[in-house]
Amino acid sequence: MDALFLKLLNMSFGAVWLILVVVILRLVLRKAPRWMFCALWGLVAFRLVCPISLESGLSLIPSGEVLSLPGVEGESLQVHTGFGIFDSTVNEYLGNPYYEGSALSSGSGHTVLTLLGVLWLLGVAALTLYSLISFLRLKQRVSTSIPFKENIWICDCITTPFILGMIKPRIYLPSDMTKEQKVHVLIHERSHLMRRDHLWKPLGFLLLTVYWFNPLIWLSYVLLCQDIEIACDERVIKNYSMEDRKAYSKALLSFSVQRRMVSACPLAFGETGVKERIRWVLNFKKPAFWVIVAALAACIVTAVCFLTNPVSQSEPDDSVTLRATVLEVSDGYLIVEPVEGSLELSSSDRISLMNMPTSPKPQVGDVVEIQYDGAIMESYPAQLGQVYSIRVVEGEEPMTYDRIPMVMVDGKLFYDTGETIITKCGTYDGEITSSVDGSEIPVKNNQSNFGKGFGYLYAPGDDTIVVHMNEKWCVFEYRSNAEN
Amino acid sequence: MSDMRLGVVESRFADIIWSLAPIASGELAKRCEKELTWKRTTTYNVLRKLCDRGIFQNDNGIVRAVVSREDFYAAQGESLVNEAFDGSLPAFLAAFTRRKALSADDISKIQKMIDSAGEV
Repeated sequence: MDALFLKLLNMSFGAVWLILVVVILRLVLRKAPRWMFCALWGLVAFRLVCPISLESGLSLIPSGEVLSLPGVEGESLQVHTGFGIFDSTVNEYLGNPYYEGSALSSGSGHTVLTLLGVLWLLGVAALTLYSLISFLRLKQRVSTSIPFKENIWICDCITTPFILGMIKPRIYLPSDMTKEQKVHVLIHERSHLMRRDHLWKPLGFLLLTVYWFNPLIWLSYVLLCQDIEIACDERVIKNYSMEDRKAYSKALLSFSVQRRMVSACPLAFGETGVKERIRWVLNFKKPAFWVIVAALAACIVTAVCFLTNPVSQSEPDDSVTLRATVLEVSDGYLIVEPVEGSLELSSSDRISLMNMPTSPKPQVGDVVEIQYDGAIMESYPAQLGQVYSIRVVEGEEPMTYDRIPMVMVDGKLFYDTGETIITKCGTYDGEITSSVDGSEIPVKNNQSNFGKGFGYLYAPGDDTIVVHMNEKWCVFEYRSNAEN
Repeated sequence: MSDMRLGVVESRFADIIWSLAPIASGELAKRCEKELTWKRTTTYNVLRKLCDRGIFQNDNGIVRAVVSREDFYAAQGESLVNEAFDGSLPAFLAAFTRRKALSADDISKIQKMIDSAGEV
């Protein structure tokens, strides 16, 4: 479920650019036939529905996958919007657990995602419920309607004509309409049915319920509803005289509805910006041929540039992954030590590389994951051939940094000898009550650098204690020279 | 009762009842389903509304008219003349004949009415 939600997030980011372009185009191509705007919204819908994205070199979208899932438990989310400065700042915050005092626990990537996913589901449920309830209420309202002819019904209790139903759509008319009003309105509503708007509008609302978290989707839906209505107005008044247009505008006025709510249904005659529609009807002029051609060209270009994703920078097949601990950070360079068990450690224990500008700033002690071409140059510190990426990985205790296990008892430091004995002793002389980090030296009594809660016994002589660890008794020896 | 107007749909329904009353409510529901495509519950709901307004009554499942169709529309006409013409019938007739002259048939009928009105 996390992966699904993440995929939706990424798809909605991809659509954002297309929506911005469509909004701008709508302003620029105001003289173009309205059905083209509806086609543009169709492109947006396609982008939001289609999970498979085509890649093309002509794509103008900055990034195909904005949020990437942490591959390993304990890693944080990574952001790739395609804008370097934004990316590195955000990734630095997400990767660094102590950014300016606020703590983001490691592994937060997954839990935050799950939480957001649950919130998203709640939103989807709420919107679905809302649209279901409003549909049922409308059905109830028109239950007392009587058939007029074909799929047209008359109802006493409605104030504006509208279309309801997806499979067998019906046109509902208020009972007090004049003959003239009926003529205009029926042409408009029949245009809706011919263009299948009674399907597009609910489908658009369905997309809205899925992508409700993206405000641009709400904007798109509102504009889509407007464009649907104006496209039908256009069909009606295309060949009308000014006289007829005035009559049509009067009809629009008499049936205008005050509701400003976003809804899935119905397709009402008088909803949506009646003032703008009247103004448009009265000022309408048939668009010139070249305008239509230019608009069509713009739509095709938009489709090509914004329906496809950019070709992703996939890592070349020969890339090698190296995990190393950062020892030094200076001026764009890093000195790292490969972790225990990595192959590179056998070539060299010190590697120098240039930090890449798009990745977060590693700190000394961080473990980083370096993708490179596998080539190590024989120098000291060694250098890598071609570095593809550097990523800070958290939650790993760098093993190479740990000191020998030590315990401080009675002011004396005891060091692990590596030996173990078998004893049946049940009671302890003392217990390790506190612990410091494995790279440090204990400074208090009953303090270790490998954990607490272990009991210990004094062994014969002053110089040895045995510590009960994991079913074994480990022998610790006192050494007077404390430095290791 | 005079301020009860019937919408187009309601008057269709009322006409059906007036033409069939008295009629069992179940029968009525069947007729409405045939003529108006209404479900039983819908028919009963609208019937109840009109009974509440005092036009019809539903007595143990038999639907009767409290007010006949003539009386109902007479009351409607009366309230129209009162509202729009201050209760003056001549004023109403003058307005009625402004655009369309009275036919010979109309004139003789009205004449007969005047004659018989005088006799009461």
